[in-house]
Order: sequence, then structure tokens, then C-alpha cells
Amino acid sequence: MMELFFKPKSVAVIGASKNPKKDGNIIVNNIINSDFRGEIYPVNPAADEVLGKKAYASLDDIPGEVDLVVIIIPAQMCVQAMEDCARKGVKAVIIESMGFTETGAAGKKIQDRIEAIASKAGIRVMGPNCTGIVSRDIATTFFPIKDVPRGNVVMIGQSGLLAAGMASDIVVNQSLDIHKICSIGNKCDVNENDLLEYFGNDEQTKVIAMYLESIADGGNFVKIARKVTPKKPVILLNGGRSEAGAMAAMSHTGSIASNARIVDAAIRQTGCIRADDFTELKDFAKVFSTQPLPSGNGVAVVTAAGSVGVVVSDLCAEHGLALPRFGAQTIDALKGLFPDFMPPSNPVDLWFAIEKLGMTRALEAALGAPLRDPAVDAAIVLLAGFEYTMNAVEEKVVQRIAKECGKPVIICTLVGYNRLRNRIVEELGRDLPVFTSLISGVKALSKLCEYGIRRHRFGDR
Amino acid sequence: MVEFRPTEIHGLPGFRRRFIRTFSGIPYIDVLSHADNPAMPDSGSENFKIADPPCIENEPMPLNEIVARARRENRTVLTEIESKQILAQAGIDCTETRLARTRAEAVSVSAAFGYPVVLKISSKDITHKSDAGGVKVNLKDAAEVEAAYDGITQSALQRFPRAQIEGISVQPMARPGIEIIMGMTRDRNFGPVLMFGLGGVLVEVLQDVAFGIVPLERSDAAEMIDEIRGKKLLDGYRGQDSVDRSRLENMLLKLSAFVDANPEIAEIDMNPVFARSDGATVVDARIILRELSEAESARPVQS
Repeated sequence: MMELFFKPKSVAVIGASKNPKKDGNIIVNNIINSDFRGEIYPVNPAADEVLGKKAYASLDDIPGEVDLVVIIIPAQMCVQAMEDCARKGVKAVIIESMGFTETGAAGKKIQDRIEAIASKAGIRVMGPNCTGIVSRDIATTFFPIKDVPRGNVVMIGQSGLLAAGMASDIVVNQSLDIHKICSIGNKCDVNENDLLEYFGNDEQTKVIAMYLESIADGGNFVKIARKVTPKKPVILLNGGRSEAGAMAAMSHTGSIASNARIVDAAIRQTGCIRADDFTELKDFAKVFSTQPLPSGNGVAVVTAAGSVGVVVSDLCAEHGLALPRFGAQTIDALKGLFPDFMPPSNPVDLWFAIEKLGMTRALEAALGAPLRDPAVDAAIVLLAGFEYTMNAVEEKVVQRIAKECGKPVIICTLVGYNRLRNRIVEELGRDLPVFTSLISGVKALSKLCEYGIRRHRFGDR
Repeated sequence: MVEFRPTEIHGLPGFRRRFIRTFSGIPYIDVLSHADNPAMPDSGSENFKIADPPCIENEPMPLNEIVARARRENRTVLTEIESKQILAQAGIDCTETRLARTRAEAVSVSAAFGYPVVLKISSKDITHKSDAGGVKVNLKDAAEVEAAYDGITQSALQRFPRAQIEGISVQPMARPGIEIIMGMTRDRNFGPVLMFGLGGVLVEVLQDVAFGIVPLERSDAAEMIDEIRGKKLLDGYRGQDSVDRSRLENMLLKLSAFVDANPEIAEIDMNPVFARSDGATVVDARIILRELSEAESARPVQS
């Protein structure tokens, strides 16, 4: 059933428009610009054609079957449109119009009628008040988008920011290897549980990241998420945490049980990963989608500044990561890089090696050996935005070593000239997670290690 | 000022008779019908009359009968004794607790349990019993029990003049352990959730607790116990025996299954639970029933 949303053979857009400024035009254009090769039916009684596609006065006039209908007309007209869909035998509808439950009692009444028609006719409805789907196969959003990658990350959200702003950011900047973005709006029917189950079983999906302001059916969410998290990471940003509980409690238990604490319990119990803001949602998705899963929490730190090593060590300790001592073999391999008065240790202070060998060769020597150390499960590499770094960036040294060793590596870049730091963020950022603060890098890596250890322990890797 | 009111209860055959015989001497202020009456007894204790023979309606009743009785009496808060009876039926170890409505009853119940005993105020209107001077522990003989009985009733009626007092609950001193709280509340989205944490009087200050969504699996229970900051206390802090965590897990799992099967119950506090190396015992408990909808309250309760 959910397949009709993501891989329809034909799609009709009710409210399609000839005016390029209108949402109903952009939606049709986005579908044309995607890889969708089925029939596109613009529905608009006042137009003959939209963007070169023959337009129909109503759904009834469309000759063939319609798998998916996208609706973008005023809310009060949506009830009629839903009745048309029911008559036509449509089974999947995305309502992108606004003016429903989110606006108050009158809007709720309309949404209730839509729900009633849908449940009677067996129609699955995404939305209303949403932007639907962004993917290479089909894009139904009213925010212009094209060239969506065929990646491995799925984002699900009750948010225009996620579906429009973040989607463009991710696609244009190639900052995340996105597979699909689903905006589910008021979720009158299709909710996070439907999508979690669907993408849990979808082979292309490696990571699921969600932004939810409410969890519609918490009991079911726990059941489904429990099945999905042993297979793939589920990252959750939960908005509305500060809201007070609805119930006036007569027990200690009831008075302590806040919405946030209960959602946290659900996150722990299901093995989801909690993100605390949109940047983290993206950061964590990046780490999980690009890096192999570690089986422990031992981290090697490679930096040209001692102070950074000290602070990273503190942050690691705070976030459950350890900086193990290197084995004898690793120490031997590193010896030549250090002056006699400074024996090699973790964090690895790269400065002397850079002066002696240049950045590329220093990294080859100082990152490879620690990463191969059996006590080390992952590495954090500090790169500064100065000229001496850029050869190594161009030659993709870090990527190569990380790949050879098969262990996760993240980059942090804190100082340097903006133009060079931006190059590090952009160029390295396509392959590896790059962070502009230590704490964000350490936190993301700690989530990866925590999940990796859990997966490893349950032996279902 | 004090209203002596013959109390009525519709219960099992024979129950009514016993109830009236033992309850009719109890003074209480009817807070519902005289809500704005500033009535206050001069002193509570001398108004408690000695009834003979001792009350015997402490016999355990099945859950549905306890619930039906509460519904008939229009209350959602169950007494400590009712709560413990229900939890005991769910397989959860509770200290045996009986209600005494007179000084003499308190003494005879205490003697039957064996000293030392604990006396507590039993009132649905008093949540924080110890705040009201409503708990006296480690009472070693009849004289101490009598003194405690008087002290508790007196201070409770002074501090909470409008409280409706059922009597005084008597229970044997439980063997001490680490004080734990376990509880349940129902969330709009997630349904029943359990709480585990460090219990006792400071629970709301410290809030060192963890939650779990029902139904719990054993690993969930273990993780809840492991999540609290003070978990070192469970592992034998300063020469104390370490607590048997598997017994606590068992208790959480029983609670999980119980609340899952009983939607009438809205909230539960088991506080404290004494956790020891050889088990865990619920020392005090409170169960809250769900509020009935208007349509449901209009319907007569079936027994």
C-alpha cells in the first residue's frame, strides 16, 4: 500500500497550475524533473495543459487508473476532491493544502470529514498540511527541487523546515546521501509508524532520521521501532519536550512522568538514537550513513595542537568514549614521527611530523598505525584551514586511510581561514562527517559507537 | 461539631453488618457535603470509640470487588490496605496490613502480627502521611502502640481537619532495605508507563527515577534499574548487602503484566519498597482508579 506513494505508476495533481509561481505548478514541475516516467495528469478545469501535460477538468475525466493523487487546493474544496478520489478508486492521496486541524475547530471539522471518506473508501492519506515526498523516483513538494541523490538516508518529519529548507540544503550542497524525505504534516492517516515499518523493510534505506512533535500511537511505535533498530539506526528529534503532561496526577509517579521523560524511556527501550536539534539530526545521519559501525568505544585522536587533544579527551570521557593506550606495534610505527623527548601517545600530536614530512605523509603515518591498533575502534582527525593542510585534502588521504582500515573516522575543523575551512567542509564533507566544533563531533561519534556496541552485543550485524 | 454518621456500605452478604458494627463509631467530617463548614474536632483521639470484637473486614477481596466498592463510594483513591491486597494478588510481595479503628483494635492486631509494628494514618485525603505526623515505626509493645495511635489521630486531625479518616493501618515492621519507589501512570500516547527509582520521602526532590513503557521485557527492567544515578546504593554501598536486582526486575515485570491487564487502574505508587539481598517488599502503596466518564458514572455500578 505505501508503495503507491513512493513508486506510483500514475499520478494526478489536483490544483495543477499554469502559473509558475503557484505551488500547483512547482509540484508538477518537480514530478517532471524527477525520474518518474509514468503518466502525469494535471487536474484543473481552467487549463488545457500544464507544463506540456494535458490537463483534465476533473479526476473522472482521466482515462486510465490513478495510483497517487496530490491535492493542492483550498481546504474547503478538499472534501469534494476526496470524494472524487473515492469514486475513481484511488488508494493513495497526499494533501498538501493548509487550513485543517492546525488552524482550529473549523479546520478540524474538514479534516474529520476527509478522514471519514478515506477510511470508508480504504484510501491512505498523507498530510494534510505537508509537502509529501522528496526522492529521485518522485518529488511532490511545492519547493523547487531536482537531482535528488539515490542515497541511503530517509528523513521523516512533521516539519516544513525539514521537507523544504533542509531538503534543498542537503540536495544542493550534497551534504547528506538522501534516499527519501517524507513530510507527514498533520498525519491524519499515514504516520511515523507506517513509514518506520515501510522503510525498516526497504533495502535501500540504511538510516532513518525523524523529527516528531508528537508520537501518534506510542505503544505501536515502541513495537515497530524495536523491530527496526536492530537492522538499521533510527535517529529521533522530539519537539515539544517542555510541554507539561496532560494528566493531573494523584501519584508521585504521575507527577514526575513528563512527556520528555516518557519519550526518553521509549527511545532507550527501542534503541533509537536521540538528537537534540536539527543539526544533530543531520550530523548523526551523516555519521551513520557514511561510516562503518565500530564494535567498541576506543578512539584515537590525531591533532596538531595539544590543547585540542586535552579537550577532546575530556569530551570523550563525558560521552562514554575512551582514548586507549596504543599497543607496542603502534608505538613502534609512530616512533619516527616524534622527537626523542616526546614518546608517541594518544592523542597523537601531529605537529612535529607535519614539520618534518608535510601533512600528507604525516597523516599517512600517524593515522594509519593507530587505526590499525586493535584497541582503537574509531578516529577523530583535527584539520586546520591553512595551506599546509590542503594537499592532504585534495589527495583525499584521510578517506583513503579510513577505507583501508575499515574503521569510522570523523573530521573536526576548528581554526583556519574561512575559505580553506569551507573547502574542508565541502570537499571532505562529501565522504566523511566534518564538524566545526569538537563537541558535535564527539557526540556524533559516541552515538555511532553506542549503537555499534549494541548491535555487536546482540550479534545481529 | 463533629458529625457522627452511620456509614453504609453495599457489599458482600455479611459485609455490611460487619462494616456498620465497626465503622459506626468513627467520627469524620463529611468533606463532600460540608465543604465550606470549618468544622474541626477539638481532639481526634478521644472520639475514637473502642469497638469489640476487633474489625475483621480486612479479609482480602478480589480486585473487581475492591474496584466496585470504590466506585459505589464515588472515590478513585484506594486505601493502602486495598492497594496492597490488589498488588498481593498480582504476585507482588507486600507487608500484610490491617486497619484498626480503635486503640484496642490496634493493640490486638499488633499482638497478632508480633512486635515491632508500624502504625500509619489511613485517609484518602492525606497523601504525604509522614508530613502529617501520620507514621510511627518500630513500636515494641502495647503501650507504644496505644500512644502512637493517639498521637497519629490527633496530629492528623489537627493538620488536616477536613480529612476523612478511615482508621489506622497496622503492619509488622518490614526488614529494612534500600528504599525504592515503583509506580505506574498512563500516558496519552504511550499508554501505561512504569517508574523505578530511589524511593522514600525525598522522591520528588531527587527525582532519581527511570521510566519504561509497558509491556516491559526483562532487559527493559534491567536497564531501568541501571539508569538511576544512585544505582551504587543497590550494589552494597558501605558494607551493606547488595540488593537482588533480579527480584526487582521480577517485581517490575509483574507490575507491567498487571497494569496491562487492568485498564481500570490509572496510577500506582509503591513507595517505599524495601529492597534487600533476599527479596523486595512493598511497605506502602497507593492505587488510583481512572476517572469515570459522565456516561459511566450515571450508570449504576454492578457488583
